[in-house]
Amino acid sequence: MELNIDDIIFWQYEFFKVNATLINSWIVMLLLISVSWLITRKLTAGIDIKRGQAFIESFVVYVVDQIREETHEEPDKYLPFIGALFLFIAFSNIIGIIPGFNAPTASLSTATALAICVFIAVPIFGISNRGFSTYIKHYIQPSPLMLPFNIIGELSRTLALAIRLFGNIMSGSLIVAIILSLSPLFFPAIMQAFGLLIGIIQAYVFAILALVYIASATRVREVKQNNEVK
Amino acid sequence: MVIDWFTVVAQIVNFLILLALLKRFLFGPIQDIMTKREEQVASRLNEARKKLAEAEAKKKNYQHKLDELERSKKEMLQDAKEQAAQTQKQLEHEAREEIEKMQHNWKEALASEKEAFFKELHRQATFNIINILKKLVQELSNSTLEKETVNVFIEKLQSLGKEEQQKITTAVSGGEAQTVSVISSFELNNEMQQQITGSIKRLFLDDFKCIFEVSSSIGFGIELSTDGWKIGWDANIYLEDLKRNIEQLFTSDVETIQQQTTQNE
Repeated sequence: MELNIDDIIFWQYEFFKVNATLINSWIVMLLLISVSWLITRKLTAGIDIKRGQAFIESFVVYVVDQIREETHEEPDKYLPFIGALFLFIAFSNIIGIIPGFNAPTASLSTATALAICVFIAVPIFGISNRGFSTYIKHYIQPSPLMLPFNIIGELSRTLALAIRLFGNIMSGSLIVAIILSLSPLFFPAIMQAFGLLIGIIQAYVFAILALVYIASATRVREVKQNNEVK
Repeated sequence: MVIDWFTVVAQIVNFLILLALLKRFLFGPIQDIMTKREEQVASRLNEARKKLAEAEAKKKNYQHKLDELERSKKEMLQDAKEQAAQTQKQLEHEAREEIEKMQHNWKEALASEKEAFFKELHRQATFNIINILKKLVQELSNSTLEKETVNVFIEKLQSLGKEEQQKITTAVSGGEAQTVSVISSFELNNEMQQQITGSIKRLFLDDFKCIFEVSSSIGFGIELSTDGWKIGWDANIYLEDLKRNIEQLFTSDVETIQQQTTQNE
């Protein structure tokens, strides 16, 4: 049992290497893209739609509602990012239930990469919404003294995002592995089921937190504008 | 637990690729199709609303037409009823008039037939009775009816009162021609004419002219006529009674028949 799946290396050439994390991520990506392509190649705008389309549409509508609720803005801009985050994490976690398959999210590198994506996406959305100077200014508000605290806050919540996801998924896999070596088959199966639930919840939590961060970066302007109107 | 920074960078790239691919293959098409469906639903709803409005308008229009139709039907029915009643009244009136006309014509024809019948009866009866009388007088008194009639006429003249004689005398002498007409139903012979002329002269005046005429208007008798005066004797006065009795009898019979006809109707 490897604690770090980054260490399972299949091929390496100097700095470049292909480890289990990357392989598993590619498998998840391939699966996601294949399923998406299969479902969306025969989309219909009519009333008589297929189950797959209905499922995907329900999912999209749910995500869109969540985004609209959080940001109070048109969700089209945020949907691909938030949807991709949730789908990738959820699929990775679900697929991790297959024996011998390690969820890519159980790697701290993957969790970090995703957290960095959120860390970068937040200012991108903020700047695109509010303009560069306005966005940068919010780091020194209400006082320039707050600048270091704001920066620390940004970094720490990114770190927390990465550690939370990694910890939950890795611990789930680890617990199953430990129990499997101690008790009969049934108990690990139950733990796997819990792991499945935790995996979905973590995907949801990660996506929602990302959304909250993005919303907090874009909403400042609205509050300010509302105050100006008053 | 170490972070492998190559893996981190590779995973960032992987995620960006996944993001692009999912946008291309999942979210893009799904959002497009959902937007399209929303538009379709909206357009269908609009169409449905439009059609509903059209249907409402058509319904109102047809309802209006139906009401119009109903109203015109009632009016036409009323007109037809009134026309029928009027036609019935007119036809009844015409029929009544026709019947009345026919009755009138029938009554006129009846009256005319009756008159002709009585005239003929009167003529025949007068002729037969006078003939019988002539024979009776001939056989019983060895005289003629004409002669006896002249006698009766002279007696009638003689029986006139003084005042009446005076009035006749005045009428005859006051006239321009001073003529007296003696009209008889039969030819008077010379003896009779002289007898009458003599009587007139004795009773009224001497100087006058006497003209003798025969007329069928008198039934059987002699009549003296002067300016404004007329005096004579006619057997018709007896025959008139007979005629009246027959007419009465006939009229009562006709009324009885009419009453019976009315009862039968």
